[in-house]
Amino acid sequence: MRSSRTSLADLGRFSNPSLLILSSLASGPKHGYVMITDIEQFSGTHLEVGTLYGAVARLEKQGWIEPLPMVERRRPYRLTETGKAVLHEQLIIMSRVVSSGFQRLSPA
Amino acid sequence: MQQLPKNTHGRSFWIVWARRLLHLYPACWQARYADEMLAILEEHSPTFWTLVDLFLSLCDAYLHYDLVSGKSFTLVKQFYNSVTTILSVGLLFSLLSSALGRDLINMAQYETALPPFFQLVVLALNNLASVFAILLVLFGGSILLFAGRQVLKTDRTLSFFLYLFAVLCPTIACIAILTTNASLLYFIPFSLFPFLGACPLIFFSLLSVPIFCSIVGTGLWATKVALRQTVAGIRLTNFLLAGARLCSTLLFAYCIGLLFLVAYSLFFGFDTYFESGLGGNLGWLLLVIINMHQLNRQLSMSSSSKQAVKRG
Repeated sequence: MRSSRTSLADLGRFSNPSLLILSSLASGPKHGYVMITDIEQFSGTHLEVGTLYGAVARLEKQGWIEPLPMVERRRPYRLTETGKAVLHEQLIIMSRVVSSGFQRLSPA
Repeated sequence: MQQLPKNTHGRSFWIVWARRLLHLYPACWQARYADEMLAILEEHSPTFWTLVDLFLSLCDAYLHYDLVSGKSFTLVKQFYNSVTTILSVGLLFSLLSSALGRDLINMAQYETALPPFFQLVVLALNNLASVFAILLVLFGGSILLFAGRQVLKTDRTLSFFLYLFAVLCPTIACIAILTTNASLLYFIPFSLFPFLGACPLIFFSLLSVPIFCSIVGTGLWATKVALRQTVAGIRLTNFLLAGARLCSTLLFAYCIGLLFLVAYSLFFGFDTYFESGLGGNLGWLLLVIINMHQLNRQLSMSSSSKQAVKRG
C-alpha cells in the first residue's frame, strides 16, 4: 500500500492536515485563510494557523505543493504534479477502506 | 469615552499574544511564514486554542528546524557532534563505580530480605555493573583526555558546557553520597530492579522487566551492528566507535537521571530512598529510550561515512 516516495503517513501528526490541504488545493491555488475556510466547509475540521503552516512547510519540503508570488501579505500555494499523484494515491487507498468498511457494516 | 466592543478587545488581546509567540519562532521561519500567519490571525479571530496551537507549532519549528532552513538546528547539530565530549562521562562514572565496592557490602542486608530468585538477579546485576564499570574506564579514560583537548582546541561553547556537565553530574552524585551517606544502590542503573522485584507493588516489578530487556536489547543490537561492520572487514575502530557511542548515550542519559535524582532527593530528603531511587532510574530510563533514536542515527552515519571513505 505504501508508495515508493515518502507517503503522507510519514508526516506523523501532520498527515491528516496535509491530506486536507492537498484536497483543498486540488481545486486550485489558495492562500492560507482560504484554505482554512475551504477545509472547514468540506470536512468540518478547523485547522489552526500553527498546524496549517506546520503542514504547509512539510508539504513544501516534500515538493507536493509550491508557493506562488505573494499578493498583499497573502501567499497562495498550488499543488505540484507530484502532489497530485500523492493525493490521488492516498484517496484511492482511503476509498478502498471506506467501501470495505461500509460493506462490512451493512447487514448481509 | 467610547469603549471598544468586547469582542474587539478580546480579539486584540489574543492577537497581541499571538504576535509575541510568532516572534519566538526561529528567524528563518519568521522570514518565511510570519507575515502570512499574522495576516490570517488578524482576519480569523484567534482564541486561546489558537495560541496553544501556535505554541505547539513553535516547538515543532525548533525540533524540525531543517524544514525551512534546510539545515539542522545548530544546537542539535552541535549536540550530535559532541559525542566525544559526552563520552568523557565514562571516566568520571568509574569514580562513582569505585564506591560500588563499599555498597556491595551493604547489599547483603538487602539480599537476605529478597526471595532467592532475586538474590541471584542481584548477584548477576552487581557483576554486570562491575563489568560495565571496567568497560567505561577503558572507553572513557582515553576519550576524556581527547575530549578535553578538543574542547580546548575548538571554540564551541556547547561542547564546553557539555564537558562541564559531564564532569559535574557524577561529582554532585559523589558529594551527595559522601555527605548524606545515601546508599549508592539508588544511584546505579539496574540496581533498583531486583529491589523493585521484591516490592509489593506488582506494577513496578512487572514494569522493570520490559524496560530492562529493552535496554539490554539496545546494547545487543548496537553490538551486532558494530560486529557486522567489523566482519565486513572495515576496521576494529568501528566496533570501538559503536561501543563508545553506546556508552556515551547511556551515560549521558544516566547523568541527567542523576541530576533528577539529586534534585528530587533535595526536596524529599534522602530518607525517601525508594522514591528518589525510582525517580532517578525512571528519568535515566526515559532518556535512554529517547537516545535510542540518536544512537541509531549515529551508527547509521558512522556506517555510511566509513563505506563512502572505503569506496573513495
